[in-house]
Amino acid sequence: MLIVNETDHPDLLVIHLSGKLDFTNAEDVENSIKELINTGGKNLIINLREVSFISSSGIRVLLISVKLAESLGLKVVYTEIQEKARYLLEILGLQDQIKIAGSYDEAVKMITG
Amino acid sequence: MNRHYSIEIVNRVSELNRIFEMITKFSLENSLSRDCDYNLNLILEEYLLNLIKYGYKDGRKDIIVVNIELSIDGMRIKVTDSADSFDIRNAEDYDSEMKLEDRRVGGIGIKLIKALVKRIDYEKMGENNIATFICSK
Repeated sequence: MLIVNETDHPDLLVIHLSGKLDFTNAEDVENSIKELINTGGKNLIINLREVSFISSSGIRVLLISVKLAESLGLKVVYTEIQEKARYLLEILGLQDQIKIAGSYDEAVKMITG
Repeated sequence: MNRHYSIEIVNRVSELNRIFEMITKFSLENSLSRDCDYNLNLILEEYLLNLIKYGYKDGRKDIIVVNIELSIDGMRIKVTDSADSFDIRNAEDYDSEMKLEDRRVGGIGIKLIKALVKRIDYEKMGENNIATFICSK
């Protein structure tokens, strides 16, 4: 599931993802995030606290979203990623390509810096 | 308590949901740890998706058999199919430095499988590929 929230910052949206992020829904989630980036023109904070499972299909979505945003001069920061998902990113050596914050406030600082 | 489970699926992506329903039941019946359940789901999604998408260049129909067995030493996941020969142990490693568009599709999943298991065995018996993944419980 994907829920989008406005924030106090005019150039910032928060997305909450929940449930599994795997081959069954990765394409839908990818398209939703791409649409938000392309049409919204805002930086994104994507909260992963409620994402219980992520496979390579989901990890590709995280990466593609970052690359698309960067190509448009925008930023994507992920927050509250679960320990196992963080471990999988480390296995793949992606921890430097995907910005991860512990909290919303930290993510805002990383974006507005 | 069921320490062993076996399921057959047709080589279609739409069949994979049956596997994951089975894993949910198997995990509950055997009180698998969250980490073990996660690994089981991940290994089978990555391996079977790769197998179904790229293992049948001529589009032929096949039956894939998945066996899961728990022992004192850990968990053994065995996949038997008659897809084109594929020894995951020799599959190209994913390169994080490579551009996303240049990476071989499936490479991310293969890298994850190799990192999560203690051992992978592969043998070719006639037309059959038999891949066995050993991991911690």
